[in-house]
Amino acid sequence: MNANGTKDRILIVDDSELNRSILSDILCEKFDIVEAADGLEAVNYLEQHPTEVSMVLLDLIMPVMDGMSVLKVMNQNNMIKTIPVVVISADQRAESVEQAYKLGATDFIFRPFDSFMVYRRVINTIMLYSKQKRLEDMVTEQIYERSKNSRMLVSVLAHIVEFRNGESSAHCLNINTITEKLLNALLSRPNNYNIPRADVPVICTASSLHDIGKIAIPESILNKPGKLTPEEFEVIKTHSMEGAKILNAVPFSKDEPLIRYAYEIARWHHERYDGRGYPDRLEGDKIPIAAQVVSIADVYDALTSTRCYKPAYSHEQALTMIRNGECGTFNPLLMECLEEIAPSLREELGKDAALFEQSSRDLDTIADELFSNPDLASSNRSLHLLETEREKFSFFWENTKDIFFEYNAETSVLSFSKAAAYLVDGGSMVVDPLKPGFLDDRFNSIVALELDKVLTHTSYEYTDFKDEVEWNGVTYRIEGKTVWDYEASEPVMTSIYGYARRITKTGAMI
Amino acid sequence: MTLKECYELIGADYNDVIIRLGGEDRVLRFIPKLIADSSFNDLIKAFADEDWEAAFRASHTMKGNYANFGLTKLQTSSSELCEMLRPCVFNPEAAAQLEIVKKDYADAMDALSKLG
Repeated sequence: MNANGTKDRILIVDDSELNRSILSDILCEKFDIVEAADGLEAVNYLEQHPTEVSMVLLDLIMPVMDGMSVLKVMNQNNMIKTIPVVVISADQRAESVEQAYKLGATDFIFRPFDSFMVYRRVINTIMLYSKQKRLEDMVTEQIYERSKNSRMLVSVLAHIVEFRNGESSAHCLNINTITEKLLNALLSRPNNYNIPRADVPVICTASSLHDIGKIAIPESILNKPGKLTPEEFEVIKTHSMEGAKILNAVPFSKDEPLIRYAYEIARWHHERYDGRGYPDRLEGDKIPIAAQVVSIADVYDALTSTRCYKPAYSHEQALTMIRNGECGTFNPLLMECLEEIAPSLREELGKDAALFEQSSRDLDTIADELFSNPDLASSNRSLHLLETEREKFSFFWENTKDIFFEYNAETSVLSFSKAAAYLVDGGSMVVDPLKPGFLDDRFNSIVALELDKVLTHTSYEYTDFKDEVEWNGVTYRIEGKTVWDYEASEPVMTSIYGYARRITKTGAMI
Repeated sequence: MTLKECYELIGADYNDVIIRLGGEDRVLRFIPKLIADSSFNDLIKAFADEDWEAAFRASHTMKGNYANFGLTKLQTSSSELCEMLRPCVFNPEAAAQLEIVKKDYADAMDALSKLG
């Protein structure tokens, strides 16, 4: 039995029916057995049930596709990292044994086999793997928690600065996004900066702290409408050095990449490539690359945002001004990167997708951390699957012609598939739809009303609901499901999803 | 004939098979399957078709099966045949060895089918 209370499944791959049935006889009491008569059948089964097989017992000499080829395929699709393979063969030649081990086989059982040994080795192998899997899950969880917590703290700090600054809270998010895109563009071309891929999310998080030194600038200067006097401007300019001082005074973790990057960015994000920036008038690549990247992101976002001293410029105007050097000179390689990402910047920024954005970035960060760690890399196939599912989901969500909705009980966000956008004014997302005063005559209100009803009546024993509601003289059928978290002592409802569809008076779907 | 008598008759290792397969019960249950196993016929057919790869595979399966059931004599002769066929090309020695395997196979099957 495994942790889920079900039998672990073993795939027995052997062309001899006699062998399969003897092995099955030895193991069937404790395990759920699936048989494959050759390598191809085995590979097909694994591809279709990637998470269901706990172990493979593999014969080597088989028609159609032999055992070594099965191992090769499992190396290509990375299954060898998560599914243990024990080879059972009468082939005792050293070169076969060596090759099987090289291809990732966990163990080798020679024939004639001893039934008790087969049984014990299978059990031990499965136990070992499930123990390792549990440990990996714990590590993943901790990496996730750690990066989530540090990002949260950083964003709280950044928001304090922004709040005092009168800047929109989108500024940090935008800088994050632009920094990330620039870095990815930079990493995808030949360069001499040696930035580890795993540092990209760290630099993005650190970028939020670029203006932390503004906390030391008097509010009267910071928020002065209209032009600053030269003296006042000099005061403003001290914010980069002030920020560096604050970060330098952090009593511990000075060697942490996050703090190191944050220091570089805070101190040097107003330096310019030609040496005409401040505070240190650094020139060229004497300016750390993280600071160079964030300086472009900062300039672009400052230009395209409204500030107390200026209106917002359009995307094109901002690009032209940067190209013309109106905001100083930048690294030509980074200018190339900016041109490359420019089309996606216009699309992405200013979209009200901050919520989705952030959560998807969280996932990316974990993925990055995981993939940068060779021990964890690829071994966590479940994460891959999660990523794939997420992408699939957002594709369907964007492209379906039907009205789907999802209510997340934890964040109180009600979102609609793109097709519903024309019915749901104010975007495809509604925060806190159930708060008093929200309900009115808009379409999202009838969904919200339905949710209200569901929330009052639902229980984890009845997860499905179905109703018909009228809106603007049209009848809609609303059908959905509630999702429960059973981990808690009392099941907790975590989300509701479903669809709404127009129907005729007779009840037929349109 | 008991299993023990049968095994002694055909030069097979009774004690070994009982220990490895965990009791007479399992051996007896699977012997009909061993008799019904197609690898011997596959081997004969592969020789007739001059399909040396199939012949190698069949002899390899036989060698493993007989080893598992402790049929020492038959295992030895089919194992030798298997090594001769490993390069998957025609081999006059293999043709001669096939005759030995045929004889051992007939003896073994004859005795196994008389099990009470």
